[in-house]
Amino acid sequence: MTHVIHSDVLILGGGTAGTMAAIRARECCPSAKVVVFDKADIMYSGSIAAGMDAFNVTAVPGFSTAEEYLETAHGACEEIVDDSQCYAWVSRTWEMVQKIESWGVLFPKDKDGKNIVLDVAPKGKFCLAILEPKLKKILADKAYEAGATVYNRTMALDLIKRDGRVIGAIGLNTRTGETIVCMAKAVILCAGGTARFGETTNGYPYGTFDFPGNTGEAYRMAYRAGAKLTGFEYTIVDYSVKDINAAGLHISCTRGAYVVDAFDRRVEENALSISDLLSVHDAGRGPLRVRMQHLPEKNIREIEEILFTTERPVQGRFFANRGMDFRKDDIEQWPSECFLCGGHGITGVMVNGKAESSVPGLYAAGDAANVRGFLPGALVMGGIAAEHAVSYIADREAPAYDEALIADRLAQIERVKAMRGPVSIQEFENKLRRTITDYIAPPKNEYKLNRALEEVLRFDHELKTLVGMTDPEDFYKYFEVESIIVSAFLSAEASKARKESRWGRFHTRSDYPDRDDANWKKHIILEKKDESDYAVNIIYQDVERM
Amino acid sequence: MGVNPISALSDNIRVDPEKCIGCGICVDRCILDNLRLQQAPCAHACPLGINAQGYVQLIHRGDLEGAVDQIYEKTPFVGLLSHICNHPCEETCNHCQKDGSGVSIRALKRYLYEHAPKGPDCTPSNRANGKCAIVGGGPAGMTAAWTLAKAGCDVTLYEARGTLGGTLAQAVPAFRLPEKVVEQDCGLLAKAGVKVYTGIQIGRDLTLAQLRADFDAVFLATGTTLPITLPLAQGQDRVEYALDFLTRAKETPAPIEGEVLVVGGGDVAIDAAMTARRAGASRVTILSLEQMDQLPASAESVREAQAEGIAFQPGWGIASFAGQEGSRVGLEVKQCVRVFDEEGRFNPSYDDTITRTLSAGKVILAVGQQAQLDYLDGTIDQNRGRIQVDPISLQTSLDRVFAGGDTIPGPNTAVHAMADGARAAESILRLFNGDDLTYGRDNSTAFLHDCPVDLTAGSDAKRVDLLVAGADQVERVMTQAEAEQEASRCLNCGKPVGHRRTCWMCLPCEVACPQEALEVGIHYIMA
Repeated sequence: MTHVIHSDVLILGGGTAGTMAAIRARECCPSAKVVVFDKADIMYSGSIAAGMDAFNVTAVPGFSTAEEYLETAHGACEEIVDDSQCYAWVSRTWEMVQKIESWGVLFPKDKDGKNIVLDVAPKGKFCLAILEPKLKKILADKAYEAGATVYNRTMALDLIKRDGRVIGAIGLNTRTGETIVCMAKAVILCAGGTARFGETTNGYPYGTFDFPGNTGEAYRMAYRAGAKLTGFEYTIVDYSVKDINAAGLHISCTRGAYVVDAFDRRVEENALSISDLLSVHDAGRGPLRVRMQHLPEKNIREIEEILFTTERPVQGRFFANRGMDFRKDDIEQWPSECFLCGGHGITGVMVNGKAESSVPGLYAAGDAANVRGFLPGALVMGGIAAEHAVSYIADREAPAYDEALIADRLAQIERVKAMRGPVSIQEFENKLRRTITDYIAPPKNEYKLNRALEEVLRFDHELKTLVGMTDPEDFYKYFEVESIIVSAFLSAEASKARKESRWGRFHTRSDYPDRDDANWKKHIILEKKDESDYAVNIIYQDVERM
Repeated sequence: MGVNPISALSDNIRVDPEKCIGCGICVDRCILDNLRLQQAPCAHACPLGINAQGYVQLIHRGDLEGAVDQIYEKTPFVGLLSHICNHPCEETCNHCQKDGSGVSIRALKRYLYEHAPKGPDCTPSNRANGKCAIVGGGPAGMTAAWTLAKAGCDVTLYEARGTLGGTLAQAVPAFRLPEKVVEQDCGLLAKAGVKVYTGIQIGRDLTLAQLRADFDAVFLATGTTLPITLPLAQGQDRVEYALDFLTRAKETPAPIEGEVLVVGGGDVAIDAAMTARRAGASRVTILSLEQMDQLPASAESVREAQAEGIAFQPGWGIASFAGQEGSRVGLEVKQCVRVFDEEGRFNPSYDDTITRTLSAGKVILAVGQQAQLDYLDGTIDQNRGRIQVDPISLQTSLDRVFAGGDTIPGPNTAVHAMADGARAAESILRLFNGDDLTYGRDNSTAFLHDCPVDLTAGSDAKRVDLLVAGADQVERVMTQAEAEQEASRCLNCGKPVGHRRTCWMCLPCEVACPQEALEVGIHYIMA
């Protein structure tokens, strides 16, 4: 038996974008029943977990404008970005800063009382300093205060669609195994990207750069519901602290540190983008190291303060454990595993400036959407999604529950719980992710991508036949792995389709080594073709310029 | 079947046993569901889910305010519980494995009650709204009313008697529960904004249909107000039911002369016997079907009764009343050979050939109570004289109507009744918010039980003896030294563990720990 509830707006995923969507939906329509499903517990869930130290993209009055940012975005995305979507959220970033600052979020000020703007982008100053270790808790408290109904430990499993519209979703309780159906007039998808994708470089399956709770449910759900997806060939690799996969390079370099290569030669300051650093690393000059021994104590303390309290606090004890001190030791950087993500990539549900997907009733924001917006983009697009979802539902009737639409899936969930095959779900995931690294992670070529597609079909079959639940609490991981397989399929198809190289390491095709703007200033859009998960329509769409 | 390869990794979660109190907040906050709470048996046993380990440890560490907060998280009625809770926590306490006796948890709660630096916060929030009617002002109704009022609901409570407290006020003797404690705890309801109407009886002064029409939700907690009657006793003079006797003894105490025979083996029988003894009865005997080691009464109250000179005649049932003999009533009893049948149901069988004749100046029958449910008028499904409910939501067969406490099947203790009140309140809040009434309410997988115990932890002190036979209060309050000694016995069993090896080292568990007891280490594989 499944539980059934009804809502006006259903938000899948209560991270940064999801909590903001919930708050905004209730602000715009105080009588709306707003439900949030979250796989964990919204108090700290999502990619920021707790705090954040950089509000990466902000059009700061007096420093920069949204129009100016478009040029930066063209560069950062190597042209694969739509202006109207980008403008829609960047133009509202300052408003978001004001809003969350009024909730007590700390944006540090200089001695004149002005916001501190960091110099990271090659053109224009867009990165605002924020120093808020409790950011996520503040957002979660606000969502509760706004009257959102939160279902924690409830993983969004599938969208429900009827007559061409999304009308709800199925949730699965990761603790009890219960299913719950929430019918909704509109659904906002904020369930993140696919962080558990490639095999980790440090050997620990949950030692990923991005939040390992994100396993591609958003992409799989939207894909199955017929939404257009894009950017799946953008297989990001980060360049971060070796073994612990933690960021810190930009925080250090914006405060006076610099990068040296294995031969102790300094890496040029204008080549510090992740993609540039990876090129230097791959050219045999790696590993690269962040050096700050020359800095005054004050600067080193400031960097430590940010890294060890807000960015990734566990770093402090990581270095202490190794007896390392920034005053005498360099910080070695290595490439991370590869993963898919909207916020600092371009992968996701294709949305316009209203956060609308191609399917009526379905909106997306945060890492689930193809908005390279980092933290500010997640917050702003979460809010925009809520505003448009609320106007979409204005005269819409509440969809009626119809068990026939979901009966097969519910029956499958029960079968999964009872699976007693010889392979644990963790062993299965390890092999799947190793295979993704082998065949999808760059450098890519036609042979490898074809092998990836063959392997995907085999994994799909073996997941259904060979897996057993060694721990009764592991049932939900089956569906995480299902999403990773679909993500792998989409990534292999998109990577095959883009017959050029772009974004440095992220999409290096050894058989098409050059960037080809004449033919490939296009989105690769994927759309489900038929009943099977593994048949896709590929649409090539020119990027849009204002 | 395959092995989970990541389970072979070492655990990176470090817990300081000097600081952890087993509250489990870290487990709730873990975003990758890595943590599990090895729950202490005391917290597991508490129907209200009070973290007994937590308050005992905080008393041990001298933090009385933190200790009482652990209780306030689940109930404001520390006064009532600290006097009359049947403390299932103490029976399961791991200290029993060490020297045969659990930590004296209820008495520590009583110590807290006497010395707590503050009362519960009575300010309602504005989280919910809706109009609720609570029928019955006993522990179940009071708890539901409190919880709903605190959440912001408009709560009206109807109590048939003149005062709140239910059986606790009506029949629990003052030597266990002083009147001022009852008054103080009952007074909290008004402070939280509950509208209390006493002297209003459902079925007489108002109907269920009326309540359903006037309120968004109704909670029925009318208790068991009628004695189970023995046909044999009908028309017998000098025979009284325990509930009537105890009520009268509180309302209009009168001396008793001569011998008293109490029939029954539960706590009510013992209360009646001790009350009779204290009222002057020359000799009081308890006659029970059960043998001494099977008595439903707690071992502690049996010990109290014995200390006050009450005699036990175990293993006998009434065969017949022999009628009046001057100022005495005579009765014939037969030997009871078995109380429960093979299926574990109460179904006594007797050896009719072994009989005795007894007599006493007064016979008190303490053979159980039953619910008075005429007011339902057949609108709600019943089961063996109680209201039938969904075990998770406590919803009755009638829409928007919930029931709990002694009115429904299950254990008839005050703490269970309070737990029902809290459970029904949660259901009503879900109902008002348009949520599912039962989804996600079984949180048991967050806990691990039957975990290894370190019996060397905790002091070797003996359990403090607080019995004062015949005194105004049969159990005295611990001194500070005694409380410290008793709390020091706690083994501090419960703690979180990194169970699933999915830690991302994101640290909310550590940040959220109110005791700063947890530290996330670096997994060796990346250290």
